[in-house]
Amino acid sequence: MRDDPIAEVLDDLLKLDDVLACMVARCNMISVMPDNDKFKGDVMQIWDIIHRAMDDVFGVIREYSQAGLGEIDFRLQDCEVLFYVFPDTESALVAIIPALSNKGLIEVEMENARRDILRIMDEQEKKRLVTA
Amino acid sequence: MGCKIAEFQAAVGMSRKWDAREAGREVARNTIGKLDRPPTFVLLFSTIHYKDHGGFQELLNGVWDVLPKDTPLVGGTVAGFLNNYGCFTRGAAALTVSYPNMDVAVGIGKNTRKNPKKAAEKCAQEIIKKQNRSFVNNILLNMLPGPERPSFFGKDLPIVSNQGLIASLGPKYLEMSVKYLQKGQGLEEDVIKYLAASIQDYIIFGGSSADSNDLIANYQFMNEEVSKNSLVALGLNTDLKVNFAHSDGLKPTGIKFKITKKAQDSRIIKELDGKSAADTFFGEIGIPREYLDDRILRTTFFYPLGFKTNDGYMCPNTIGAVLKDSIAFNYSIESDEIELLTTSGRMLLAAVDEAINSLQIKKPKVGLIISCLARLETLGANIFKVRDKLISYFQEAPFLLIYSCGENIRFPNEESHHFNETFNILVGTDNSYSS
Repeated sequence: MRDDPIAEVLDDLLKLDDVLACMVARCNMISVMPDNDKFKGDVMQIWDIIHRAMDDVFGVIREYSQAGLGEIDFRLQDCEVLFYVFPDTESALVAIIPALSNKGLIEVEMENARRDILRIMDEQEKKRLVTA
Repeated sequence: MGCKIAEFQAAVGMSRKWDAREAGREVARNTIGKLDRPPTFVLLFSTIHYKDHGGFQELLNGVWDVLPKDTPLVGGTVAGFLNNYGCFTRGAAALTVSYPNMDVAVGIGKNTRKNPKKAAEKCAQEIIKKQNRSFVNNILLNMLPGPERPSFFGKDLPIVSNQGLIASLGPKYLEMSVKYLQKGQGLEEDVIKYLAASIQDYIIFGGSSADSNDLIANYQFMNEEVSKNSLVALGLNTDLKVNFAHSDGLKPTGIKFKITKKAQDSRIIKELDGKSAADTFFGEIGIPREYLDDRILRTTFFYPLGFKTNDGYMCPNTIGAVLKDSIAFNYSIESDEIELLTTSGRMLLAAVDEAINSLQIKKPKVGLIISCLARLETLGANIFKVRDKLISYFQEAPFLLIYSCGENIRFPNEESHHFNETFNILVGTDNSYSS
């Protein structure tokens, strides 16, 4: 995990005060996630319900990603959960933020993180093809 | 990104490092490293995050580990920035110019809330005293303190207080807090008015420093010094051709109100049309008072209240706080009549095109854009589209857009203006330019 460049991007995002938790995930699977002792606030107390809601949202992402679905978010209790979909995939960068946060500013860093992760995935795919 | 043509050089750079000292070194290296000669001046901006990652003095120390001694530097904290490299709400950014036909002087005026006149006059005098005026154009770039929420018995004053002690005492407390504690509105419009009166023949172009829209704390930089509550300015005397454009993307709705009761030099409105200001405003935009919380700004940024100035500018003013029946604004409303304005994401983006298309310089060599953080908060990740428009215009030329908590402009011998929610672009080119 330490040498995982995607994990480094997520660790960076998690350093922002208003990002309570973040991960790269798809339906029923979390691909990359920082140590959850780095998660902030009360997010772990409502983690189960958020996790179940996330899986339902990934059902929508699976249906519409190929049609150009870019982002989805929902509010649950005192949190908002943001999904930044990786184009034409069933995966997304997911972040949990407080409902009262300055969402516009966080969106910019979410977009930066999505672009960084896409670049990393692209490079990993190219390396894989070269060595195959 | 750098532009090296003939004698004129300009560059922008940035850092995304978390550690303040390392970020300072990196942003300075990335910026002046693109020049062939020492910089004539540097503008430095950072987001608020360095407060908890070493502090702003360490950020400046890192910059000065790299910058040549005595390079004039001004700047401050901002909510975000975008440049040739991307869009960011965390990091540090700089813009530098190296040009022999440019004389530069910096000035500072402290305690802007306690005494705006004294601060502005002192800053202006420092610049006038140091500046030779052998060239035709005079520009004063400035940064001044933006609003900061006062504390009320140890807690930050909430943005919305509908009842209780805070709601009742809030307006009076805000007035006293600005005067005695230097917390509250920035009084920027007063500072700029006195600055303009002291330095008549300069184009004034600047912004209010900000944090990440929490309105807790913001800082200004001048040379090696980090300040709070200071006006910092950089005077340029130069033969560079400059061009300016201003836009807002706001549409008057035709819904007007008469201000019938106000306070704090027209920064707090207590009554509109003889009734509770808060009830009248929120009733008009269709938000029940019981739904209001600190996310209010996400909505009210789309509904600023504006007034027309004598010289035809529409001054949009965003809500700072709701204190029972009163609405506190970020700056004073200089009219007894205000109008509800509205906007949308599409209109905010169109304002960028409007500004760019109105510029006479079609091939700039450098650009500085000062835009309101309200636009950043409402557009969110759509500011990447703002950047796309700027890249199309600037091409390879370096540019830097900062998101501030208020914007100010003044053309020589005209009235000064302070705004919210606007987009202001200043571009320059050298004399090799022909239209």
